[in-house]
Amino acid sequence: MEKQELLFQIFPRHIREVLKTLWLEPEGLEEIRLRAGAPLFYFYKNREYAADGIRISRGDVEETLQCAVRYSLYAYEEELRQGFLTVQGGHRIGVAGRVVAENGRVRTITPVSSLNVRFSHEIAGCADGVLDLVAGGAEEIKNTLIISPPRCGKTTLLRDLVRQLSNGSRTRRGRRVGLVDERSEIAACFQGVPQNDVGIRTDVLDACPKAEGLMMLIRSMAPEIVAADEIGSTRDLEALRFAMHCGCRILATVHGESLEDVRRKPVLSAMLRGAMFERCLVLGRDRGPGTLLGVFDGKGERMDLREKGERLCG
Amino acid sequence: MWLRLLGAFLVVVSCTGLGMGAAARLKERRRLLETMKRMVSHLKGEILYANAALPAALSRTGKRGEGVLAEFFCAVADCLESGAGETFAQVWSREAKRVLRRCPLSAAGREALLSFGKNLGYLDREMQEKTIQFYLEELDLEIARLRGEEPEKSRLFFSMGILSGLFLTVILL
Repeated sequence: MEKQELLFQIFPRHIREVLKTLWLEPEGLEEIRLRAGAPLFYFYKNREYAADGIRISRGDVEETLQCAVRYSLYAYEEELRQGFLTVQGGHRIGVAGRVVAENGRVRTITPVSSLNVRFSHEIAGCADGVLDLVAGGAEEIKNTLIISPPRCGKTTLLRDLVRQLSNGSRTRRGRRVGLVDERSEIAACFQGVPQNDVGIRTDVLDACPKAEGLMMLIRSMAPEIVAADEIGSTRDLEALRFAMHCGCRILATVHGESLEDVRRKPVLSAMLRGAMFERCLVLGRDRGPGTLLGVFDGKGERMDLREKGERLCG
Repeated sequence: MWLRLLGAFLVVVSCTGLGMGAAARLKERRRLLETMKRMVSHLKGEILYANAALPAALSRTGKRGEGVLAEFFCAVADCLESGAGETFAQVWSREAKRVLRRCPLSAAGREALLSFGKNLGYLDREMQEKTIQFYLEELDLEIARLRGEEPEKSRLFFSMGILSGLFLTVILL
């Protein structure tokens, strides 16, 4: 099936028809936003556009959500509580609307009035530029933290790092990688099988809470490298420490504008102070998603190895 | 004379055959409902225990089952997975109507199957449990009713077949 058609399977038929008339290249499409009573907005090649000829109704939003989860919203209850869900293909849908709370805890969101569909793009080879920084010698792999604001390509970069380290190359032997994919974004598992290429020696724990998942993988799959997306809680930190004591190398990502920004966050600053991470890669979107803003070593010193502002996946 | 006797014999045999056919359909209907019950229980496990989405749950259930119902479950799952943009209720009712043409289900049975599809997938897991439980109870009642009626009705159809055959013979001779 055509790639565009696969992307648009998230939407019900009439919205799909409208999207088809826009002639978008699937690779350039970053986001589509639906809000009840507003036009359909889409982010395409780093710019926002509004689609002509359609105004989104509340029914459209509801129908899109149902279509995206294949009429099985019950199976996404836990995810819905966090405000987003990952659907087939690894695309992530952010959800907003009226929250139904019970004892101060979010029970569900209904009715849903806004959706933000963020498309996941697998870019094989986007980690080429930083691979030598992460895997220094033939044997040595650095504990690496990727820092970036949302929509700047940190998951894409992590996925490709995992793939390349797992596959290995002529000069570098392939490693056993344990991947905890809590939000099903990295490997985009569908019924447990990765849809994205995450390498031939990668074991994926899909939809598993990170801290538990890291422990489980270390006990069961004896990985040489563990990878996780969007770390941040104290439990994550403990699990990563445990992994390190077991001799695993770590690849992780975190939300943040810069190294200073991450240092201000209590849990993460503890990690950085302890020099857990030997490499910090900071991403931005100055020249589109995946712009490398800086590389720092374990002491937080900037490493001037590359031209600043280079785009990894451009 | 011999020809007449042969004709009469054939009429009796075919009428008896019709009667036996009706009795067999009755049995088949019960068996079908029992298969349905097994498959819906399996579906319940898939949804409540494995937290599977409908396409996956239906396709796994279909693959484990057999006969027209298994085909039906797989067809619904395929339609949903192909992502044609139809709602679940639309897919279910279309496929159900197609399969029902080949099934000896009663009008009430058809109605129950269609309304089961209309409610499946709606709201949360608790709701799924209730919808499935409700359908299972309906199936149980129907199966029990058919079991009770079966011996009596089978005998009735069988003897009606023979008697109508004899009756026809008498008239024709």
